[in-house]
Amino acid sequence: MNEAMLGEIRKFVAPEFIFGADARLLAGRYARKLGGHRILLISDPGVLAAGWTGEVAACLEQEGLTVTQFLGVSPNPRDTEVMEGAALFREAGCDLIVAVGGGSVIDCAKGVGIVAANGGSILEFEGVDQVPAPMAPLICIPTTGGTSADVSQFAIITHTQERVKIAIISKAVVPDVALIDPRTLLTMDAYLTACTGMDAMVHAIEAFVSNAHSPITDLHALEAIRLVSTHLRASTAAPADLELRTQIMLASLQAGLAFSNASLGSVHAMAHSLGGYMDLAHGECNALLLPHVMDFNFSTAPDRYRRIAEAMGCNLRGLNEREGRSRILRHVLDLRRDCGIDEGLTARGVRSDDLSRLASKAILDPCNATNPRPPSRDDLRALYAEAM
Amino acid sequence: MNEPQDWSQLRDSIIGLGTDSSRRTYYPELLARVAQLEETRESLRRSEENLLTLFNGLNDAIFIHDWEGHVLEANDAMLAMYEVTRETFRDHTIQDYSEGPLTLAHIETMRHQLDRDGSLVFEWQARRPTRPNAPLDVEVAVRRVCWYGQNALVSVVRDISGRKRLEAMLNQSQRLDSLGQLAGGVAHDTNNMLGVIIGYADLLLERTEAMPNLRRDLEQIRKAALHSADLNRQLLAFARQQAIQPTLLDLNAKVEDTQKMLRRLISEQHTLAWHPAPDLWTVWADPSQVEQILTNLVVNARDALGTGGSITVETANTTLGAAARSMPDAEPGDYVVLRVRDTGRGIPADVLPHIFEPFFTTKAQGRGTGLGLATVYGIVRQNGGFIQVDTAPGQGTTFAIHLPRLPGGSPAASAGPAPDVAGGHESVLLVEDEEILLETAARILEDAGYRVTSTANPLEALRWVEAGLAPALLATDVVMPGLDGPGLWERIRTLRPDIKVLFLSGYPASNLGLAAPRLDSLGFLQKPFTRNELLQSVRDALEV
Ligand SMILES: [Fe+2]
Repeated sequence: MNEAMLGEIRKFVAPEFIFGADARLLAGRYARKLGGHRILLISDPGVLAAGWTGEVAACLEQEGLTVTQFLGVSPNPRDTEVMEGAALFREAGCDLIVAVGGGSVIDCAKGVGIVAANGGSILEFEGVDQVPAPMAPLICIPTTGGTSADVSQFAIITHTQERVKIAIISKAVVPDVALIDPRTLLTMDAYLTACTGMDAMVHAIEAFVSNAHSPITDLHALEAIRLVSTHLRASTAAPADLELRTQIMLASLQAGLAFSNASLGSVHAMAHSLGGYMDLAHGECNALLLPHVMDFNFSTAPDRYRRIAEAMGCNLRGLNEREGRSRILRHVLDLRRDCGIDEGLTARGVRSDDLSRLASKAILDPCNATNPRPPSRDDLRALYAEAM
Repeated sequence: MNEPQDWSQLRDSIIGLGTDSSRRTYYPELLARVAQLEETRESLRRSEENLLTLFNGLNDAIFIHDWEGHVLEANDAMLAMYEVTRETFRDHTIQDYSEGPLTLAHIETMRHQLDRDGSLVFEWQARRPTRPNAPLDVEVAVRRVCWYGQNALVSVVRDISGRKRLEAMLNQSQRLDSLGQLAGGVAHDTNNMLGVIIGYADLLLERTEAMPNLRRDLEQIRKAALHSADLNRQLLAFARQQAIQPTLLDLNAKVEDTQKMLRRLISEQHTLAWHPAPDLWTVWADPSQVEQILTNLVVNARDALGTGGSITVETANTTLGAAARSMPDAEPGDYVVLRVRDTGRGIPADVLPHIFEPFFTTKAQGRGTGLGLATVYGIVRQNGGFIQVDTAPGQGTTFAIHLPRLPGGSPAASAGPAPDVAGGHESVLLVEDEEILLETAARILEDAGYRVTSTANPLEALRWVEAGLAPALLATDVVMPGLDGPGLWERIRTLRPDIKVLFLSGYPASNLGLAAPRLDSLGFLQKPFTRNELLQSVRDALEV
């Protein structure tokens, strides 16, 4: 019997979600059923260019709903953008939010909902359970296969002045419904596919080794690891293959269900700090930091890493702990490289005098709370240094 | 910060076991808000109901209308006043509800005044769409209102036709009063002259028994003078200055007495009905005046009838409360009503305000003096009563004479026939400031055997008595310069306590300024008088 099952009671939170090709087309029906009349449609220029935003807007208007679009979201959503979106929500008298896009768009939509319902600045809601009033209904249509913001209780927003990402963790930001449509992934290029795929992989690994994991989250985490390991290389090579896209989308969903309830670890703590400072893609940061944090954690939970290796199809049989650690790290590095994510932080403009600052920010991130091995600031600094 | 932190508490909240992370329902809050909304709606409904009751409970008509004149809402009083229904009142515009045209200039002025003062009030003539030829006098108060988001006006319309009518009645009453004063003054002055004419005619008649031709001419002069004196009496009646002898009077008995005479006034083709009310209260009035009223009203009714129709005379008791305030001459109290109703052509609205004016007549020249109704008016007012006229073209006319009730008492017996006129040999001190009348009266008295000392100056008369003159009778005018009749009598009486007195006056006895009981023991003669009347009064006064 698992020690977590004996030690404590657990709960599992997930929104209503529809998974499958063309699920996005249900947006109009859901918006109307959730009582919406004037819809704030949040998206970004990339997704708009891909055509998804316009299609969803048409779908909403077909139901007789009024649509106001907000497209001012950058890859790492900023507090200022959230405030602009909230102002527009109030100005247009909106009563429901539809987010069409990647993690950035969905996190921004969550921030807009929080501020629209509670007032004040988005920065005031940083931390756990800091959102008092429930927000307007939120419908999420993810267009990237990794972030899982569409099912999670997390919203990550960039604090522009401090150049750091803040985490808002609350039941209030779990969307009302997620319309998960693998078809939307077809417009992603190979590198973005790799980054978001690796993000899903990190979600699954961190959730599985989290000190808050549970039998239900374990199931989803291992399945996600298996799916990514099996299909990411192929999907990166053949972005137009809907079958492969569906597998990656499913992996992302399962990883999301796992980490939303088991939380994450220091990879994300460090990625948040790094992404906020350098404005790098979230999945890319995760992919660059993952092997080093695994190395740091391995000895604390060797059995769990062995099961991860198993799910990845990486055979550790007969190997001792040190050999096993090497093997699994090699496996992850190979996958990363095969998908096109190469080199380290230095190549992406990070300098050695940035590291202390990055570590100081990262150590404050709540994701550290569930890392199997509680890190110190110096630990994190050292890990950044390794990732250079 | 080199040591790993203790993250356990944060971990617990992240995995959703913190106190604030449990799922909560907003259902009870929703129910409470819905209940609150319901309550608000209910109180709003009640408030609206109350306001609607007030809106419809007002006597003034209220229109809500836009600047183009379309009626948006109206209250019950509006429907009643304009004789429209809830279903039809919007079919008409404000223009349709106005007698006069509402010009653009008029509307601009209204807009200007509303901007300046916030409201405006003006008199207007309202028009009832179903009765376009019967305008209604109204007062309109206009204010701006925002009616369900629309710029509109609220016009409160008050029916002031009653007030207008009352004003007109008051004007009429005041006009009749001043006419009365004028007529009274003229009649009074001519009376003295008539007295002279009649007096000298009488004197001459005494001496012309042997000259029939002359006598006939004199009789004509005397007749004409008497006729003029009669006209004067009517004018004085209108002016409420007729000498009257009011008694306790049973109106039913009096009307009964006059039936025969009244029937003679009307022709065969008219019927005269008489409906006395049982247990009629008594009044305090001069019986001959009542007869005068009846005669005049019946004649008036007869003339209104044309061929055929009926005249009804009836009596009734009535008590007036606060309603009396709506009639200018009336006061609350008990009244005996004498009603004369005809089925004739009625009095046109433009004629009605003038019917009580002297010499106002619609009859053909020569048919009436125009003094009939004026006399009735004066008599009724003199007796403390008032007249209500109810008439409409084609609907006949009813004159309702209201005389104040006199509690208790029984009608006095009517006076007996006048005794024969006799002269005498007593000494009479005659004082009259109108010299020509003084001379006439002196001649009549001297011819009848009296020893007469006469003067136009009351002070001279007083000096004579002081000097030793001791007349048996003082016959004196009432109104004189220097010392009036009653004053002269008071002064002389202190010197000659046994002296008798006879007052000669153009005014009623009640105008003498003497208390009623004393008046009974004093002689009084109304001017103008005939020779016989003077001699009779002198004889009566001497024999008191
Ligand atoms: Fe992530």
